[in-house]
Amino acid sequence: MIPRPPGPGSDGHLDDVLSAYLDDELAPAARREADAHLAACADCRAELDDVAAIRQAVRILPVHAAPHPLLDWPVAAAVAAASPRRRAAWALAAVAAAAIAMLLPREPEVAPSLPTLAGSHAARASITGDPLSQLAPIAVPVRFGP
Amino acid sequence: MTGEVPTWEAVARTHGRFLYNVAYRLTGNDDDAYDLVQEALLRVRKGLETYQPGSMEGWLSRIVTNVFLDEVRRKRRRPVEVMPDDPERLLPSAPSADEATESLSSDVQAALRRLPEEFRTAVVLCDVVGLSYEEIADAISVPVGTVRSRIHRGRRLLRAALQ
Repeated sequence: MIPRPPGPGSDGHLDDVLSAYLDDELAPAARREADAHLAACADCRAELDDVAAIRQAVRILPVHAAPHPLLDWPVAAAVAAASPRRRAAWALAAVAAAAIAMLLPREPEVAPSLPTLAGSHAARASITGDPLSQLAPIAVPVRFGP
Repeated sequence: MTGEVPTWEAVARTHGRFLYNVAYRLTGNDDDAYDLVQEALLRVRKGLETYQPGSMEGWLSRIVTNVFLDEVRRKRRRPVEVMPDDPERLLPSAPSADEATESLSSDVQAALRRLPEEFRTAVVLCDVVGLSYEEIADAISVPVGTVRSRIHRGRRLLRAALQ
């Protein structure tokens, strides 16, 4: 029976060394020590498997898309398209909108109505032909949901 | 003069999906992700004037994380406001519509959203963004050992929540 090399954790196990092991964040000597401990410790091997599984589950989360393209957002369009003099005004408008939004009572999450957003955006884009520069002057900071 | 420094539009166009995804994983919902990205974009615009060509996604994730953590601190100073971990959002039985469409990953997302912000931030920067421990330590101004501990504790909490 091989004696189990003690791990660096408070109870002699590998503890957070396991995450560093999975993320390849250990120096070669520390990695060899971890390997030696794992070879002799079923508890740490089981925890390694658990942590590896959850790590993988987070890594394969799909990219969550924005409700509509970033460049169409009012503040974004204002930043991109406003002349230097108007930028200050837009920044103020954004700050004011944010302040008002913060005063509003928050409700449970409400999913944005995508068809509505997409429809109104498409209508504006087809009228103006150039959503980026044309949206800015008429854009009003809008919030999704509440 | 601007040379290799990208324009703001190019950043939003090229990295918008990335930025929004990170914001969504940090905040756990579209409302807050939207607010977070708007504020981050304003900081990006200012920051581009002094941006040193390097890892754009690393730089963007640092900005969006800092905006997120600023907001977390602000809410903690004003506890009257709805906290990110208020009971409404802890209910796993009330997923938002977009989560329902991500049925396979919705449990993971729900568990991630319930993690305390410190652990969630470390896990998101490591496993969603793909930063190294050193980059994460730099982004959130804590020692590398703290990053390692938060990532591991975060993963163990996620694992426990999903069992």
